[in-house]
Amino acid sequence: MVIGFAIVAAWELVTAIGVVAFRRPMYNALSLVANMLGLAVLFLMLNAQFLFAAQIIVYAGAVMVLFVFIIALMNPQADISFRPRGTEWIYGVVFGVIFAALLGTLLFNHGLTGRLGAFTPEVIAAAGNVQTIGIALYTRFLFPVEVTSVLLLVAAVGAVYLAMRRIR
Amino acid sequence: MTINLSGLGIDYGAILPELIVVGTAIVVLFLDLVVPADRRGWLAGVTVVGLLAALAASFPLWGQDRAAFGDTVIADSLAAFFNVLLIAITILTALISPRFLRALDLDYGEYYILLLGATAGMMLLAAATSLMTIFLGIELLSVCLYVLSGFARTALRSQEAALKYLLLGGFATGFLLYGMALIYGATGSTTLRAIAAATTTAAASNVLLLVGIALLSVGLAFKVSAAPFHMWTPDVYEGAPTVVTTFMSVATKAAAFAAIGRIFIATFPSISSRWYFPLALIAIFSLFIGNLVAITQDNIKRMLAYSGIAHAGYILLGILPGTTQGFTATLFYIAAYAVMNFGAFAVVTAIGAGGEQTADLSYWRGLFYRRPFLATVMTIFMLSLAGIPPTVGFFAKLFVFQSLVTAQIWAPLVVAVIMTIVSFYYYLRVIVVMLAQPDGAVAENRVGFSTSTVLGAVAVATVFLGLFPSVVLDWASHAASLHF
Repeated sequence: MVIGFAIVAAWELVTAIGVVAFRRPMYNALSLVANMLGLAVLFLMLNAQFLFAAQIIVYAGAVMVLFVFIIALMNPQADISFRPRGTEWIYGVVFGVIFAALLGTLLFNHGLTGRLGAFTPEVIAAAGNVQTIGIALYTRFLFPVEVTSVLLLVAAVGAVYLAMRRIR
Repeated sequence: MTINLSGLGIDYGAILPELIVVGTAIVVLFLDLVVPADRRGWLAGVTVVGLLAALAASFPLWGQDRAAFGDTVIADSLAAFFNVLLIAITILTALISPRFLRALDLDYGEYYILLLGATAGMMLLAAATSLMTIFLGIELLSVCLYVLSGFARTALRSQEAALKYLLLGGFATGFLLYGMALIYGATGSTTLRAIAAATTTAAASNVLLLVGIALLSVGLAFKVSAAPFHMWTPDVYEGAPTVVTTFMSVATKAAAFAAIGRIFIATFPSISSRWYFPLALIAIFSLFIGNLVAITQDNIKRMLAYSGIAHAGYILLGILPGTTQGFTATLFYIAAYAVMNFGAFAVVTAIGAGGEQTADLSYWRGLFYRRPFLATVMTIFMLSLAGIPPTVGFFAKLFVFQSLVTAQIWAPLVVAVIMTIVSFYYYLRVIVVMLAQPDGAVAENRVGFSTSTVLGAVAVATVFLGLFPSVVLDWASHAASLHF
């Protein structure tokens, strides 16, 4: 289990770096697809089969296919030179390394004391995978779900406004 | 498995103001289809009417303690305080908007929909008692503000501001969400009440929780534009349409500080020794960077942006003691900052209705002779931002400093006092420039009735609250007694 997690975590890290490090937009998008597939595997390892399927179908499937289509249609030039100017990147690397070192020493010295959740594999098996998620979404998290719908509405309005070219 | 509906805490009364604001946004969305293009000022009217209804619905929440929807949101005095403040800011923004938007050829109905959406997000953030609703509130207001700062689609500066805000905002959201996930992992709960219950003094050595709180603080500090997470502020404030800057500079900060109060003072008082030092550092950084860099600015929007960073530092000082007195001072400061900073940016908006280059300080030379009314109210706002009596800004600083003295917190206090004296330079400089002899007449359009009424009202409020601060102070001290 731990070895499996380590493999998937390493995969996630590598693909996530690929999302920001590649110079071609298409490679960035494909790295993101690979990253989301790895995330789906993580869900599977946590016995969340429904989330596994949803992650693959919705994110790796629908959303990212749209991304890839758009990139293919817009056909941006291969190398978008988005190199940091001058010496700025040095600060980024220095502070990134310091931050990572701080986090690393903290976690290494003290270890993690998380809390086990209520939804153990046995509980989920008794209630059913999809049912557990559905009931949680529409009871305990009813209000956040409704707020999300408002969020999507204003996002749609904003996107339409920015994309539209009105001719007067 | 049956669904038990009784335990969900469905209580629409508790979120009635938010519902009305969202409802108004949807009404405006449909009205936009039928209102003729040259009559879009009506949409501002509908917006104001809807907001007034939401304002009326906010007053009954005062003094209540109604947790709703499974502890994700609460209707209490703090939420009511921020509802009134945020709705008032939005009403004033909607009143000064039509003239400015027409002048810049941006008079589209989407503006009011996004304005209302942002307001709803801010109100939700102020009322949120769960990590999920805090996140959704922040996202709702951010998404609206990303689009609003890029609302001038043909202006390159506006597009740059929107893109910069979106990218950095997305980055900050990553920190915020990661922090929330770690806190959830450490405490096993998303509601602040349960997190507070799980956070005993022993949790002071729980690394998972502490790292989570640290990352959460980064995300929130970004939203209130506190240093060193302020890099976006000057560019976005400068590039965004001035009327949007007016709104976001005061409203976002207010709403985010409501969440900071609920998180640090109400949820994590037992480990205050752990968050005190980082927050004090952020406050001191903000005071230093905001005040010192503001001196060098020749663009009034950038100057006010750095002044906003400095004020974020002052407001954060009130959080440090972790006491009700400190939080009262914070709330008073937020209200005072909302009044005076809104006024200052509204003057820039009124002048900017002619064109965008008017934010350059050289343009303000001799304003007293050309636009005596605008220059007079601007003087009041500058004096108040500097903290000179008899304006509200003086008492805002006084109460914050007082709470620091009571709590025996000296180092940040000394920095704050010194930096306040430094800030006199750049605030008074604006007044001096306005008093200088004009070097040539520039044709300008008139201010318009609604804008001058708003400016007059805000200026009167700045002085009135400076003479009788106890009015707001009583509300603030009542709202600051958090209990959940």
